[in-house]
Amino acid sequence: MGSESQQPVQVFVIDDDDWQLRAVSAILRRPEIHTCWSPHRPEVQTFTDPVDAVASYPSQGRVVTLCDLKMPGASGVDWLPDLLRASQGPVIMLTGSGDEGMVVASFRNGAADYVRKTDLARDPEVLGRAISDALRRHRLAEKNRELAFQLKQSNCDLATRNRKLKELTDTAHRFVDNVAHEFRTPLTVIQEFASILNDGIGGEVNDKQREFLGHIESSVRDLSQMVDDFLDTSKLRANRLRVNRQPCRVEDVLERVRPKLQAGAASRKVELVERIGADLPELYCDVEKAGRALLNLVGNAIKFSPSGERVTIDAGLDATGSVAIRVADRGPGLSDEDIGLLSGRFQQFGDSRRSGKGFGLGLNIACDLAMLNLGRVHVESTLGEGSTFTLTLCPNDRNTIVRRYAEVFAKPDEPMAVSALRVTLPKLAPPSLEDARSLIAANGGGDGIVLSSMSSRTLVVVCPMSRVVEWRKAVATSWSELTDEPWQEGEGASRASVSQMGSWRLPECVDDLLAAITPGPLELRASA
Amino acid sequence: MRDQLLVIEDDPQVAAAIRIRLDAAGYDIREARTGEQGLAALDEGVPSAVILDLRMPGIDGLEVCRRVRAEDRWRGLPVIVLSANVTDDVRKLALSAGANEVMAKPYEPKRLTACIERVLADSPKDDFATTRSPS
Repeated sequence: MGSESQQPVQVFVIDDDDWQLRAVSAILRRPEIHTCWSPHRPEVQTFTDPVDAVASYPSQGRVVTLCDLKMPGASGVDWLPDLLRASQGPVIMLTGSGDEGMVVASFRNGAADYVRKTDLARDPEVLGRAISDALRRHRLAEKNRELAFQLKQSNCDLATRNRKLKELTDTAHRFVDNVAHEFRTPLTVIQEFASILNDGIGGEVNDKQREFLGHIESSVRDLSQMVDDFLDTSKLRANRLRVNRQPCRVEDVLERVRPKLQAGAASRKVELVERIGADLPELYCDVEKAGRALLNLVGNAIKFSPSGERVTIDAGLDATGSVAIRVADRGPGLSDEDIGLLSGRFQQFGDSRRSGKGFGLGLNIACDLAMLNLGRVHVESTLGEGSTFTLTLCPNDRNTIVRRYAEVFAKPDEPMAVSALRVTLPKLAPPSLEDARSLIAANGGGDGIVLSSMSSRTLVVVCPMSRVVEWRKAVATSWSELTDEPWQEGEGASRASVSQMGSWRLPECVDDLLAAITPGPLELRASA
Repeated sequence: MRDQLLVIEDDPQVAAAIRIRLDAAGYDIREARTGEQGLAALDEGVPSAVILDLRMPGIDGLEVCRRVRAEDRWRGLPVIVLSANVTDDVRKLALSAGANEVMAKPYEPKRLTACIERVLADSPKDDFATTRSPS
């Protein structure tokens, strides 16, 4: 019992029958009736008219009201709302025989209990028990209301805090965007004027001047690369880096960055040699992001190459059948200690600790971009002989994609729950499935993968369980963008639909996930 | 006959760099510092192509692009967006506003001139033959 229950309790008794009032008061004063809910003898006030009772409730302290059900004029049921409001305590109805209908009505109006007057004579303790129970329930209800209020209050506080946090991150993102913009504008001016001078547009330039201007140009190039890296890094940390993985060729990746690579090599007087193996398998990656990873690796190789040396970009198959782009330089190379440090860092995705000293933002973001593409970066080097950084990209093969996804996004000590969604698009729909696949991937974000299925018009989305709602939205948005029709989910062969196939913990359940999303022989036959 | 380009760019130094580069590449350059000035310049005479910045005070580049595309008389006018803030989203927005090409700053000069040559080769020159100013 808390201290609250030790407070004196007042009892108001309302009955038009004066004799009844006296009888009830007498019972209430008996110790065996009140000790279980009031250690002291309760203060009892009696009223023949409810109007007087309503006017007499104290502003503080607890009052239990016993009210006759049948009174001349308005009944106890009719008075209940007023009594409850004025007393802020439980109201127990005193009933005669044959009042059952009104008892039900009084409960509906908020009565705590009822006591039959006929029982009082036989067993007066029924009154004590009724009051005790009513008080306990009333206190519990009060406590509940208080807790509910506190909960509501904390929810409000949380919502406010969330809103403020969101405003703060939005401001931070806008700031980062603005900083990038503000940096690039003067960089454009410096780079272009150096280049204008170097091209002889401002008059003849001698070799010495040309060399100096080349230094300006290449440093500006480095600086603008750093701005890009800085922007990518901050977006990556905020989960805002959009990634659009789709089937592509290694040539697509190289083509995208070739002009920049060549300009960089030319300004450092480094020879760039490209070798692309024949018949390389199709890749599954975001061409732009993979290109930027490569840009960083090659940029680094060029930076550490002595003038006149050669950097080779060699694309071929590695031992596991993946496409590996090897970037080899003949620079100073790395010590074993540095290699160990780098390799350790290259195994963690999006780890902010990694942006540490020495290796710059470039290698870190290259590694993050590679992983976002389900690829990886690794390094081999001999001190004094040069380094080879290898960017391995993910082949467009269902099993490898899913396994790499599990490796990159989940760690044994940090497992991730993923869900698989089967996206069925109508057979006769205008968009080709491949368009839908890449659009859903782009709209969904980098934390999920979209796989084509053997059966026609079906895709499989694998995404974190916590993001299923967003990925469903991405499907609907993509559908609308492709067809100009609102997304309408429904049953039947002609309707598009998204159904959840199940959830798995990665990385340990990757085989179960693969088994579940790989079409069975029946499905294969149906699509053949 | 030299093709005329209208450069709408609020940063005077960037505008100067573009002017000098493109003048050396054989183009006549007109300049506008704001979106409003750019549209007024188009009213005075239609160039062969427009080089358009996105972030500008007043009417921004996207809006300029939309207004150009809304006018029948400028329908085939090539617009190259040249912005220091090119992301996938911005590229998408600019293309859907009607830009023919989107390039990021800082730009490789060779890529910019190649881009201009490409859009000029693709544009239906006869549409503008009457308004193009001879040099």
